[in-house]
Amino acid sequence: MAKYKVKALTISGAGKKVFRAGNVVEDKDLVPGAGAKYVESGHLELLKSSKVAPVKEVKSEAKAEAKTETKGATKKENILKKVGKKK
Amino acid sequence: MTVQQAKQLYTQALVAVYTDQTAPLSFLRSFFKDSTSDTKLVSVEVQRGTEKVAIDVVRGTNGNRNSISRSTERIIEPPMYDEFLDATSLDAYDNYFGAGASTPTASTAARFLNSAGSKLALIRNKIERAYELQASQALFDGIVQLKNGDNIDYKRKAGSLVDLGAGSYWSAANAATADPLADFKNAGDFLRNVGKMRGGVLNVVLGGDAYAAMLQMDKFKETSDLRRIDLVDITGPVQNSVGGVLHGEVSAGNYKVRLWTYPEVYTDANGDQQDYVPQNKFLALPEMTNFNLAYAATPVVMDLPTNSAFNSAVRQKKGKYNMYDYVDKRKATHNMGLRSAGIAILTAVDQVYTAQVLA
Repeated sequence: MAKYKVKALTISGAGKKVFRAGNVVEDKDLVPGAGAKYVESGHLELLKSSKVAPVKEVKSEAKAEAKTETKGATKKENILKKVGKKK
Repeated sequence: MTVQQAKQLYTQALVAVYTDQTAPLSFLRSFFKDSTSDTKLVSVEVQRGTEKVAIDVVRGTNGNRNSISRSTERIIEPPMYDEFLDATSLDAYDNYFGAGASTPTASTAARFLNSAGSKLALIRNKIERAYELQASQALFDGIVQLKNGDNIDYKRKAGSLVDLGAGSYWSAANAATADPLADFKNAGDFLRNVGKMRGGVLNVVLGGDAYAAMLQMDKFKETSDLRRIDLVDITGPVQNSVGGVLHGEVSAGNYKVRLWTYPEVYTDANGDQQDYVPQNKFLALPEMTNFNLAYAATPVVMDLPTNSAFNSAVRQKKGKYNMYDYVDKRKATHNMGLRSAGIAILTAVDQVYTAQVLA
């Protein structure tokens, strides 16, 4: 169901409701078909349909390991560092 | 008469009477022209004009054919107000009609009529406030809200119902950037370009907070302080007879703007005081408005003594306010009341501009 933000100071809704600037309304709050007309006339602004919150990137083990590597060190040195052994 | 009352006749004098009977003011209604009709419905007919320019033609050819668009008619059934009082609750009623007063005199009649008249005036004031509120709702919201009927939406354009937004409000945070004169100019441009207003004078009615905030904006103060260029002329407030308070005139673009406030309030159904002019908004109107306060006819019961089929009937009677009275035989009350059916109509719907200038 589309959601809108009221841009004009007032608009008429369904069932004698009056919405004011800044209110968020849905199609069910409006007379059927009024939403699109109000958007066209500039009374309402169509809000993008609510997005699912993006899943946070989980670092892969390989990447996490890569961060522990010391720049300039040889591959062997890094492996030894990980396992806690001195070369 | 008790002994105490008898003593007071010689020892006590009533020097003044004060009744808290506040007559409603009519500043917002003053922008509407009154009209009455003898029908239940009222209508307005609107024909849109254009500002097209004639185009030259080659001699000997056809001219440019003009087609005139049809006008639109809007039919409205105005809300009816019907307020009454029980006259038997008045002291003067018993004095006139009560026991021992079987022969009414001129003085008892005058006392009763005076008493009933002042109470009916209270009722009339109540209905007048409803019309003032209608005018306020039409001018500030574009929607007249009714309790028992459908709301009347004049479908004002979004461009005439503007929320400046947090970044442009006349607030302390925006004191350096907010520009009230530019906002008045935008109002004038809308009224001129969309509303086809004639003339260059605007009446701007501000809420009290909006007016105070306007005076604090840096750009407004800078313009006011210009030497040898007199674009702002604000003096002490002067109240007119219908309650509008004139503060002065400012120049905004091509327009001369008269600044008004209207510190009038009403009591709502919850007993709270409300402003007719919202504190955080301003309203801009052309000097000559095209709005109507149209009164439709109201029903009255007519006696039909010569009609063999019916003793009485209901007819529609023309008038702003129609008085009636009847005796309720079951309740044994003598009721007197007023009926009125008016509606504030924005005939030229694009000749009004409202902006919210504070949160």
